[in-house]
Amino acid sequence: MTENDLIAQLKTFKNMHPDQSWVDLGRSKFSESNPKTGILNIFSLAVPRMAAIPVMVAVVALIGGISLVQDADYEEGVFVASVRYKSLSVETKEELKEIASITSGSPQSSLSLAAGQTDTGVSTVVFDEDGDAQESFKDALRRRIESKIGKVNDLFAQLEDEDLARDISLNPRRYEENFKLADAELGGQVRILLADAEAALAEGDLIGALDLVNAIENLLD
Amino acid sequence: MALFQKSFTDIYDNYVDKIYRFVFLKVNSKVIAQDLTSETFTRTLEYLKRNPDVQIENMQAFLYRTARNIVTDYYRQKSRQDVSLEYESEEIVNREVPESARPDRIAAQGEQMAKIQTALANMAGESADVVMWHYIEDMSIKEIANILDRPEGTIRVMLHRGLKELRKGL
Repeated sequence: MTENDLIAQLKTFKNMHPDQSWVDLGRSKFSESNPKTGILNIFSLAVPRMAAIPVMVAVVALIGGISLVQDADYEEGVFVASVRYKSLSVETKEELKEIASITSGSPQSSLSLAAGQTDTGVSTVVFDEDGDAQESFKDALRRRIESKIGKVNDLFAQLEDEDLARDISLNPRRYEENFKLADAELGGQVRILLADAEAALAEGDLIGALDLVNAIENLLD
Repeated sequence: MALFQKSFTDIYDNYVDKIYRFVFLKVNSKVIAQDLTSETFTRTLEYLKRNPDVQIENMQAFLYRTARNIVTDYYRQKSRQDVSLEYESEEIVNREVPESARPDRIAAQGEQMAKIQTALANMAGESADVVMWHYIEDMSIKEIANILDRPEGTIRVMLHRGLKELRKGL
């Protein structure tokens, strides 16, 4: 079954409805109590994204998709970034740890994204008051993403250039990736993810962008 | 931002189909889906009664979150093996009668849909929810991001991985 066939089949589930008699029964049950429920803004999509983070006291800055918060558990001047990406892939978590270890330079500038923390969906990046560590982390993250995006764009460019295609045929790894990209379905998926990654990068959602480019790498593996 | 005064029966009418469908696809049983859907609305009503001053910014997101918690509780209490995975084809009620939903087409598709339904119910994590919301309920990435309280980029990745996982499960 192709992806399009699967999506078409999924859409048919929309024709699934509960029994009308059961629906009517439920309505009568609720209409008996039927208190006015107050002012309900049921059409608004605005839900404060940070509201569920228990450790947060106040949001003080936003870098690279990481909300920096000043936490009462830490001494004054130390910032805790709560990373709320519990669905990050293992590769992305490991890469974030690696980038943090390269750019930190002080024990307080560390990144903790242990698997056990996925239950709460909150992981932390701790930086000291010096803003350099935050900036270098952000810059390294951006460079890594740009490099990965550049590589995929190169592969697409090579796909359309016979001379370049011959060159990469000498590199088995790149040849294999390029060969996979030539597949219309996979190539289409990669193009969508690539566009999303570029959009995320432009919006400053660096961790989201990194996870997207890593998803592309997984596809090409 | 406009505010809307809604009675609970209006909310029920607006969302009962969606919540039922969501729950049914997670538990694969009509009776259980009815119970858990009723429980979702009952808990929501109780919450609103207890908190008359609380403004719910996004009722759809609130109901889906409540339904997810109730389904999770259900699976905690009951072993998944006990849940019948039998496909209940009578669930499909043809209201608008689009071409794809004609009875003869449904019969032909029944087996495949049963497989998809089972694969969806067996998927771990939130990927199945994201797939259901986006492809069945036509919800945007932004709407799903609001329900799960995640960045949109993360939802896109989950959607991509979820579809891949679903295909693998068929």
